[in-house]
Parts: sequence; C-alpha cells; structure tokens
Amino acid sequence: MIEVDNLTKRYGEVAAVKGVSFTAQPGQVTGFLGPNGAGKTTTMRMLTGYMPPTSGSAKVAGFDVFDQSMQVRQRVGYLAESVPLYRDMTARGYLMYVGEIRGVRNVGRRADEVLDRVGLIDRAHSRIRTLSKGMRQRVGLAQALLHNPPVLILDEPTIGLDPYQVLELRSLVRDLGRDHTLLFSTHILSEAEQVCDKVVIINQGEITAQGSPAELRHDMARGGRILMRVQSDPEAAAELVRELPGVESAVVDPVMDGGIVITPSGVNSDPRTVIADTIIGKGIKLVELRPLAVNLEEIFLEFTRQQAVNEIAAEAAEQASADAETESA
Amino acid sequence: MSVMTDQSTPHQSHVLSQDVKMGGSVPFWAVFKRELGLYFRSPVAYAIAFAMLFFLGVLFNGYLSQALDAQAGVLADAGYMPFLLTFLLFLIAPLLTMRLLAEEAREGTLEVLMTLPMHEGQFIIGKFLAAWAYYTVLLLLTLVHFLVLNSIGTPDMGQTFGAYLGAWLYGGAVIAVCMIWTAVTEDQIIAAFLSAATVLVLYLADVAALFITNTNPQLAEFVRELGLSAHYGSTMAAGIIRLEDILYFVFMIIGALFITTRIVETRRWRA
Amino acid sequence: MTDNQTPVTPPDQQEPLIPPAYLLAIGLGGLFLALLVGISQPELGALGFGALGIGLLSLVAWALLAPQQAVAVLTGRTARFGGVSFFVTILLIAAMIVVYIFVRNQEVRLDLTESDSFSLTEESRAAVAPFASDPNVPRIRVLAFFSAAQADARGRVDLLLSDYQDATGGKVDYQLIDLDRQPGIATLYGITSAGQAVVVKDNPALVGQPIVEDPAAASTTDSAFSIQTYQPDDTGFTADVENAEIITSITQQNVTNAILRVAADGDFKAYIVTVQDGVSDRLSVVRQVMEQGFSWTVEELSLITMTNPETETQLNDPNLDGELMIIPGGSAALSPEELAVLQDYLSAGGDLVLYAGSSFNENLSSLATDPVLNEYLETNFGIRINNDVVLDDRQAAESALSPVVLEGNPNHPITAEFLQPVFIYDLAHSLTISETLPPNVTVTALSLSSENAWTTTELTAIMNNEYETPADAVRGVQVLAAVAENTATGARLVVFSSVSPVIDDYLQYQNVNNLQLSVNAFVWMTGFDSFARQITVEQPVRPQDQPMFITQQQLRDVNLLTVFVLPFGVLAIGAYVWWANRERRRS
Repeated sequence: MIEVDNLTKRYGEVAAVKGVSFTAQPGQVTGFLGPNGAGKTTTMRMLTGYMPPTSGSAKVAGFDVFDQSMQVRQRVGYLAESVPLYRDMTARGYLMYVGEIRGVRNVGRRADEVLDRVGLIDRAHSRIRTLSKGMRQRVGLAQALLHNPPVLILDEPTIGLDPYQVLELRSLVRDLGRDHTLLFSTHILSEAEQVCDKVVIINQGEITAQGSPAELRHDMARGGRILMRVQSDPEAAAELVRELPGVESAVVDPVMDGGIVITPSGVNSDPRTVIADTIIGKGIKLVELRPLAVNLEEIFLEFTRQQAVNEIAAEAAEQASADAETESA
Repeated sequence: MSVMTDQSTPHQSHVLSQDVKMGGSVPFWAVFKRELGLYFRSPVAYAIAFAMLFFLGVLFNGYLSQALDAQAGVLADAGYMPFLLTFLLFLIAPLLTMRLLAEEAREGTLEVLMTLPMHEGQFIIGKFLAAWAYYTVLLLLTLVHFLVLNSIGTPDMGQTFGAYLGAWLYGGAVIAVCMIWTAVTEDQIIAAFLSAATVLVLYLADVAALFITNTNPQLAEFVRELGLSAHYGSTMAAGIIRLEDILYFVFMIIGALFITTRIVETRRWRA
Repeated sequence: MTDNQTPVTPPDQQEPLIPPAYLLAIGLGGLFLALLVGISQPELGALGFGALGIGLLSLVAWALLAPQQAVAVLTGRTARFGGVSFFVTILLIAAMIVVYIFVRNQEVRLDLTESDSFSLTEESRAAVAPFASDPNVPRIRVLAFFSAAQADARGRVDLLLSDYQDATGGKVDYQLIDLDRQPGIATLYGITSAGQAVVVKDNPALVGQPIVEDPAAASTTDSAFSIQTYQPDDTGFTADVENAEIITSITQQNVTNAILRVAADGDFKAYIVTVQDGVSDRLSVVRQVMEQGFSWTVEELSLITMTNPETETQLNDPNLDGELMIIPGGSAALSPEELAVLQDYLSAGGDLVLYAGSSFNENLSSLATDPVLNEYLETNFGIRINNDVVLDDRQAAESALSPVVLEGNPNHPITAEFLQPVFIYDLAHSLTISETLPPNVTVTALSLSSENAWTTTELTAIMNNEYETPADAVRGVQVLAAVAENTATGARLVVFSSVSPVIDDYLQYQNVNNLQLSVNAFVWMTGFDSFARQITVEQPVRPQDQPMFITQQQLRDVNLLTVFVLPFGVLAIGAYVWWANRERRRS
C-alpha cells in the first residue's frame, strides 16, 4: 500500500514534483507514466526514503517516508533507474552484502532463492561487470526481492533491454504484482497498458490523470471527442460535419495525422450515427470513426495537451520528421 | 535466457512467499567487512603498502647504520617508525579514502544503499573503520622494525606503546578528515588532492604558528593546538599520554565523521 | 527553508514583544562572540562571559517564546537537511572545543616511559617533596628558555617542570620563556642559547639592592633593558640573580640537582671573633664570598657574646648545617673566660680557623702564640704555634719575611685541587706538629716552606731593620699551615701561621691563591661541599640509555629483511591477488 498525499519536491525555486497525490493498492501493478523529466524518478526516490520530500507526506506500507524512514525502507524493494551495482562483486556476493545490511538472517538461502527466481542461479558467482545489461537488471531486481518486501518500486525496469528481455521482464512484473504492492514507472505507453492494473499519469511534476486503463478509456469515451478519418479532402468533410446538429466543432488536427477531431455539443450526446450517415450520404469514403481516446497513448496525449499543447505538437512534428528520416533510410 | 521464461510462470511465485528471517542487523559491520575485503583484493592497497615499507626500510637502515659506531651514542628509538608513518599519512590516507564515497556517488550505488534500512552514519562508520583497519595493518607491519630494533638495542617499551597508540589515533583522525573530501566530490582525484592538502595543512600547523607567534602568541598557540603535530610529536611519540591529545584525535574522528554524514545527507536532499 | 515549515500564527495569538527570530539571532551572535573571545584571549573575561550569558539567555527566551520553532529546529527535516544542520554541526564542534579546553586545563597525563623521562622519579620526588613543608626552603623558580621553533621540547619540559611544581606544593614553580621575545631575561642570567634553564631562589632581603650583572653578559645586554635594583615581581618573587644555577641541558637529573643546590644554602654560619688588633676590617672579600657566594650568615662577635644566654647567637647550634669560627689574628692573649668558651666549642665538635697574627708589636707576642692557648692546642690537637718568624731567602715575595709556598698537600681536600699554587705567608710563625698525637686526632701539614727557610726569634732586630742572617741559621722545611681533626668529637682545626691567606691584600695578584686556600678550608671544615654533593641525586643508568651497536653483518641482514624481503613480499602477495582476480574474471 502506497499513499501519497500532496508530495512536493523543490530544488531551490524549481519544483520537480508539485503536490502529487495517488495511491497504489496491494496486489496491483500501478504504472507511473510520464515523459522523461516528468518527476517519476524524483517521486520514487522520495517514496523509497532516499530523498526527503520538501513538503507533503507519503505513507508506504503504513509508515511515513520521512518520519519512519527506516520502517519504510525495511518494507520496500527498490530497483533504481540506472541499476547501480558493484561491478567487482559477484551477483551472489552483492545479494549477500545487501542482505546483511538489511539484517536478513537466512541470507545465503534467500540469495539463492531470488537468483533462482530471476533466472540467474547459474551466474551466481560471476562478477557483475561480466554480466550483460539484462542480467544486471535482474540482479537489481533480485536485490529488490531479497527481503520479500510487501512493496516493490521499480524505476524504468525495461529501459535499455532488448525486446525479448522486455517481454520477459513485463511478465515477471505482472507476476510479482499479484502478491505485492508494485509501483512501476515507464515512459512507454504500451507497456503501461499491458502491465498495469492502474495508471498514474504525471507530467511536469503534476498528476494529470489516474485510474485503470479501462476507466481512463471510458472517461475519455464518455462525452469525449470523436476522431474521424476520410480517404481524401478532410477539410471539406470537416466543413460538412460542422453543420450537423449536436456538433460544436470539427477541426483537422495535424497531430492526429490529418484526422478530424469532432467535439460534440452536449455532454451525453453521441452524434456518430448522424455523422456517418451524412458523410457516406455525400459520397465521401469514411475510413475511421471512433471516440478519440481509446488507447493509452491517446489518453496520455489528450491529458497532457492542455498543459503543453505547443510543446507536444512541436515534439510530434519532430518525431514525425525523425520517423520519416528513419523510414527513408 | 530461456530460464527466465520458465521462472515467470505463475506457479513459481511460491518461492518468494517463503519466510525471510529478519533481525540482528549490524549494517556498519557488513559495510566494514566488504570494504576491508576490498582493500585486501585491491592492487592499489598493496602498492601503497609496498611503497611505505620500502621507504621506511631505507630510512630505517640509514638510522641503524649510525649504530655501526658504538661511540656514536645512538639510542634505540622505537618511536621513529610510527613517527615516519604519521608523516607519510598525507600520502597514504588520501589514497586509502579517495574512492570510499566518491566512487559510490559516481556509480550511483549510494542511491541503493541509502534506500536500505541503514543510517548514513552506520554506512560512513563502516567505511571509516575499514580504512582505519587497513591503516592499522600497515602500522602493525612496522612492528617488524621494532623487533629488529629490540634485538639490537633496548627500546623503551612504554615509549614504544605510546608512540604506536598515538600513531594509531593519529591515523584515525587523518582518515576521518579525508572522508570529508571523498563525500564532497565524486571525482576521486580531486578528493585525494584536497585530502592531501588538508592533511598537510594540519600537519604543518605548528610551523605556521611559528610565523605568527611574535605578532599574536595567543592565536599562534591556538593554531598550533589545532594541528596534528602538537598532539603527537612532543607527547605521545615520546611516551607521554595526555588526555587532551587523546581527546583531540577522538574528537577529530567524531567531528569529521559527523560532518561527512551531514554532507552525505545534504547530498541526498539535493540529489 | 520550506514553504510549509513556516508556522501559521493564529490571529488571536498575542504578538510577542520581541520577535523570536531576533532572539535567535542575538543568541547565536552572543555564543559566536564568546567563542571568538575564548579563542583570542587568555581568559574569557567580562566580554566573553557577558556574551555567553546573553547568548544563552536569548536562546532560552527564544525557545520559550517560539517552542514550535525550537522543536522544529531540533527534530524537523530542516534540522537534518537544511541550513540548521550547519548550525548543529557548528554547535557540536564548539562543544568539543569546550570539552577539550576544559580537559586540557585539568592536565591529566600519564608518563609511559620506563625511564620516567618526563615525570619525577622516586629519587627526585623524595628529594624535593620535603620542600613543601620546610619553612627554611625559599621559593624556587625554574626558568626554561626556548626558541619558538622548539615547541616539542618545550612541551616535554613543561610536563617535567609541572611535576616539580605539583610535588613541592608550588614551592618550586617554573616559567617557560621565549628566548626571542624576552632576550633581556636570558642575558640577565647569562643564558646564551635556547634549551637551557636557570634555577633561581626567592630572596626578599635583596629588594632594593643593585644587581651586579655578569660583566660579560652586560656587554651584550640590550641597552633598552636594564634592571637597576632587585624588585619583587607580581607574585612577590625576588629572583636572586647572583646565585642562580644555570642548567645547560634540561634533564631531570640536572634540574633536580640544581634545585637542591639552590635550596641547600642558607643554613651555614660563620663567626668572625672580635679580637684586639685583628684583621677583621680586611676580610671584605672573604665575607662576600661566604655571604653572597655561599649564602652563609656571617657575624662578627666576641667569644663571650656567643655564649651569653641573653643573645640570640648560641654556639654549637644543632639546627645549622655548618658552623665555623674564624679568629682573624689578634695581638693579645684570650682571657681565661674566652679560652674556656673556645675550649667548650672545640670539645663539642666545633670548627675553628685560627689565623696567627704576627708578633711584631710592643709585647712581641700575639693571640696565637699565647702559651696557655698553645698548651691547650698541643694537648688536644698536636699543634703548637711558635713565637718566632719564618724567613726564606729562596722562595719569597719582596723579602725573606714573605715566604712563598709553591705546592699544596695533594693528600688533603683543602689543597688537593691546587696544581701549581702560589701561597704567600707574610710574617709567619712556624708551626710544630707533636711527635705523639692525642687519641683520635690526625694532623696534616698543608703548607711547607722551602728547605732554605729558617726561623728566628730576634723580632726586635727585624723591626729595627738590624737583622743579619746568621751564618749558623738552622735551615729546613717549616710548617706554615696545618690541619687537625678529632674524629671522635668531629672537631676540626686549621691553623694558618699568618693572616695573609684571609685578608684582601693579595687579591690584586692574580696568580696568588691565598683566598682560595682559605675558602677551601672553610668549605672543607663545614662540610659545605659534601653537603652539596650528598643531595645530588644520581639517576640510575638504565638499559634504555645504552647506545645501540650493530655489526656490519647484522646490518646487512636487517637491510635484506626490511628493504627487500618485507616490501617486495607484500608486493608479491599483491601481484598474486591481482592475478588470481584476473583469472576468475576470465572464467
């Protein structure tokens, strides 16, 4: 159980995290989603007791992260983003070291168990510097699991892994989520959608949305905007739709790759059937017509749009050109 | 790789549900054991020991060769070796301490350690004790010279004990001071350089006091007592144990480790 | 530090007279000022204590006025991570400095050395400890001179000397003097280099008298520095510069001996007997030596006074370490009463130096040649003084009437030290040593004339300058000074056949040793020299003080061990460990 209440971290005048509040339930994987620099790592560091919060409070497994830091630390397993390890130690030696500091008495057996769990038992006596990136990630994970903590905090565990390793790790995280409170950060939207029972979206140090992926989809769908694609001449189609009853606006959005974003006028109205009839009736080839936010990527974009629409647009444009370049190359 | 796929199947999760026996944690002891082990596996530490022993050996023989002439009246001074060692500390201590915290900070391992249920103080004390223990081994190696001296002349046992006790505490204080710099910077070279400079300043404080003794004797005395030499050369090296000298070294250790802890804490706050 | 840390003051709360923040600033400022004063001044003083008091009071007031702030400072996150952390560190360091200064002033120390180089040995302690309760011992001060560069040696001597101070209950104190900053004091005592010390005693009797400086030292004295007269310092100590003992090497043995020598003098007394036609007015040099050189008490009294129950002076005073009676010539015989006093004195073990005055006077006799006295002396000490005059035409100054003695008796302490002496005996009587001596008495001749000397009783002829040396004069060695000692009573008697050895007249001749002869006699008779030697504490020689000796072969072995085997062995272990780690990495 993680309860975060109005957590804030400032570096001088700059606030990295501004009044974040959310909860993570036991037996669930909670995804912490946000672009790079959104404050994910800072928040996690505060939750693990590494970094004291400037203000606000957070309770992990029922203990305050500032006033009862030691109790919190005993109950948290933490995999830091860069997976810092002692390169000159063996995998098992490292686990023994951490276990001794933690005061795990049957540390030898536990080290073997968690190494077995993450599939590294045959490399237990290899020095960490000889292990691959994926293996090191698993050593870090083994370290977090060593004392069987009720709460696991994993900071970007899939970063830098090859696709196969990413798949393995995701399934491990899902598996661990069943009997732990698991907070897991990522900047990859699809990953959060696949793995998480709950998603917390953070941007520029503030939470913009939270809920299960389904809830978020539903929230967006309900009274949300509609995306329409036509085969050609989207401007003309938008012009047509704009005239329809129950439609407040319809614009061609470059971010949506030439899709037309339609805003209904009523909260509970769904003008999709009317739109479809009209467009098809005019002989325009309809390619797609659906509520705008149906996958997490769009939800994310949608929620962050208000704060930084210009930035996102610029980034998207950049991204598009970069993609084009790679494609052409 | 294929192993992991098997591991991730649901039925394996029972492995983690096994009981973990907790308690009796003495974190600084674990840190101490690891760091001391590192010294004995590190070629650098052996190189330091070699350089020190070689240097001491040459000077020791120069000292003994004076005794070829029985009329020269050279007395067996067992305090000579520990005294030389305390002088060499301005080179030895920075080399021993430079990586202790700087490396952890640079490699990021400090982040993991600071999320373990261990106070910074324990962590720093563990590291400090390891460096001090290694220095103690170096100091004990000079007992070889003492035994040689003892077979040739008759050193004063009380003075020998005082000199070694003093050199031991002296080393602890110097290592503790060097810990401050390795906590301040992530760059080991800078840490070593600043440490050596600090130790030299403390070592030469009594010389500095000479320059101001005519203008301000009160301040000169203060500066002299602030330095390391005033608490070793004239007293413990000669076999006199003054409570204030022992307190000086002990307070130096406590104060320096306290400051180091504060710096690590503050870095956490700013990290 | 943080936004939400600022405590929200409820609107109904009364605004305190002084804002708590001001009190905090005043408190910290006060403590800082007190620390500055403590560092820069020898004593905290009014300013330091005032600042300390105001600082503490302000802090207490601040804690009372703003308890939530105080609690936050001590326990809150700002305490651990914020700027307050800096203050906490400063407070810890300040507390440690205070404890350090307190402990330093307690001077708790332990001398581990087997030779106790820096603390008093049992011998030294036993020698100086009685000073504490002995009212006869004056205050003694040890002045140790160091240059600023000798901080180490200075520290050690400080330890040693403080032990003397403790052992004597402060009777012996000490000062460590910077030779460069106070060269005047060093010059006053004739100290030339650092690392030397001076032991000096308190002598209030000297106050107001002019200081006779060592002429050699005076030439190098800084002209700005000159002490005209003895003055007590602010502790009431009047340093007896003239009688200071210089220690050239500050070791415990030297310091103890110097202290004992300085403390020892003062218990000796010399009486100069008032006699008719005595030479007591020509004894100023000898008196100065005794009074100032030896710190003896010298009194000029008649024999009758010495036994008068109404006078303070009593002969054979058991409280004295040494007592000496000097009869400086004289023309008239002692009265029976006086003779009785003298006899009592000698039979009780008294020490007498008798200078025989010449018989060239109206009566043609002197005090020393009085038959009654001589009868007594011959019976009890085996010496007779003849009423004649010794002439010597081979070894004499000016005339044959001033025989010169060119050798001392090497077998007697009084004369043993003279290798090529010149003693002049002007108008001397001859002495006769009895063939048979009284029991327990030994007599030794100190000075002998040449073989060409002879004696005559034709005193009138000599006085009238009509004396012709008779052809048949019996020439031979004449005894001019003799010493007798009664080992049963302890009485000692030295008879000089002339007053020449004691009077000032011969001081002008540099190669004449007359005065030294007399002084040696005084020292031997009173046991002054053995008194000084007996208190000298010899430190036992310990094995640690034995120099080392190493043979070429041993040195080669040691060389092999300490320069090659040991360092390269360690290097080899290191190389092996490195290699072993490399191997494991490859696997």
